[in-house]
Amino acid sequence: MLIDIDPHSESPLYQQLRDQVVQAIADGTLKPGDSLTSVRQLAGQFGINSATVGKGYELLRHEGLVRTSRRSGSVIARGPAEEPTPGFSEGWTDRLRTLLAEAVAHGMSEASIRQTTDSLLAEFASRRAGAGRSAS
Amino acid sequence: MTAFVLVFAPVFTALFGILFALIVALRPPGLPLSVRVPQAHSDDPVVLTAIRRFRWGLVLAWVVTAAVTVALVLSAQAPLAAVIPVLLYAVLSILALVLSRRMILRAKREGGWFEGIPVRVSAQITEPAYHHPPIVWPALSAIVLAVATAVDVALYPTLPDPIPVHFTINGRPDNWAAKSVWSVFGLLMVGAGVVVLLTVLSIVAARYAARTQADDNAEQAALRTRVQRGLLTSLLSELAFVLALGISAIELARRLLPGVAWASATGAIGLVVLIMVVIIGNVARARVQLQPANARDPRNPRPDAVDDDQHWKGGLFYVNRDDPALVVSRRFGLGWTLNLGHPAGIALMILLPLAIAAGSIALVLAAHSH
Repeated sequence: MLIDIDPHSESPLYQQLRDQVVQAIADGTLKPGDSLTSVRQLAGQFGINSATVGKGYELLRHEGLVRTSRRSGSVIARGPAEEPTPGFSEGWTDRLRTLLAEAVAHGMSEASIRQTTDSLLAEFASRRAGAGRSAS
Repeated sequence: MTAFVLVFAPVFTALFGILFALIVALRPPGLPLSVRVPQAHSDDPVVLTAIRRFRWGLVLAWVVTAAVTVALVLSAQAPLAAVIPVLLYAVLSILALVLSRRMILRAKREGGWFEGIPVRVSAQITEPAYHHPPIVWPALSAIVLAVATAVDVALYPTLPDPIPVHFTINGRPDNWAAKSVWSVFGLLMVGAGVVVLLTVLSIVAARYAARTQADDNAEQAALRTRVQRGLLTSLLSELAFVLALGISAIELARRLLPGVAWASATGAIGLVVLIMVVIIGNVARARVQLQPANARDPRNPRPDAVDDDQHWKGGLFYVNRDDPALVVSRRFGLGWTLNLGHPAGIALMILLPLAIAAGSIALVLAAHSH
């Protein structure tokens, strides 16, 4: 699976890496048990500092989306089919509150906020269905 | 000797030129003549003209080389004529590359091709599948070397003492050594060493992933890694087999047909021809395999790669202190090259030629010390 990083973006490189892995798990491109390239190799592939890639992996590990063992390296730890980890929804609600506040402050109507949310969720679901078909 | 040089140098340099021209077409559309250009300009008239000029440059370099060969042979400098044309052709063809890519560099700078377009650096976060290199070529190499060794063992009691260890191009011995395991099996031992070395290199080559170009999609990036690994492993293991075959043939010719001029010379010429055939065959196959990776789908556009030309000196040498990678994908041709901005890269760049030179000198000294 390809990760594209924008070197000129304001968002830090490790954040871009983390966000794309999260999105790939949501749309089924990465499934529980898929193994990820090692930090050193991925840094060499990108041509960026190993510490940057390590920071992205550390974020994912902290969130429980990736686990690392000495034997099998970094693997995807969970997927959409499993129950959320306890305590996840509080932190997420806080972040969502900020995002929704942004939308409201910028004058987006409730209907169009709901519509955007629904269509994004539908996009993840249809990609996941597609990924499931192509894998079997 | 003269006739040999007159045929060998032009044929060899012509094959070299074909190889060079094939290599140009191997790279993604975003890297014509090893210059990074955005996809919107990959078919720019300047780019197409530069590639055409480079091809003509190769032809011109060949004509100059052939003329120099003839001049050297006519002035009775035949031994020089075997070496100089090949070196001259290498220098002239690199000059053709540097001069023609300069055209694209200028147009890119003046036209601001990269201004305001989105760029990305990309990499594969899931490991591309690793395939063990096939065992067939190392096995065949071992068999031909074993056959030649078996013949030597059977003939050992009847071999003369001292035994000839060095021969002229016409197959006449010009140096002898006391009969021993070393003087009889020396050539075969060198052959076995080279086969082992190339096989180990082919296994190592199959482990690296090609660096992803942002304008490739996921399948194309994976294909590029697969083709690059496959090319290097088959090239190295087939070369090992050809060397084992040539060395065994030369050894058998010396033992079974001593003093027969054509036997030894045929082995040596056959070896050079087979090496070129293996190289060109493999590169031509890689070119066909890479075609889907070089196609661009306008319905699913990919972002452009970052302009990293300042790190590629002459389009051939990579120098980037901020890049943690020691080994990166070549831009020109297929395979890997050292990052000369990496401390270990500089050390290897100096040590590798020294080690090769020291090894060759040791071999020559060993062959002449008896």
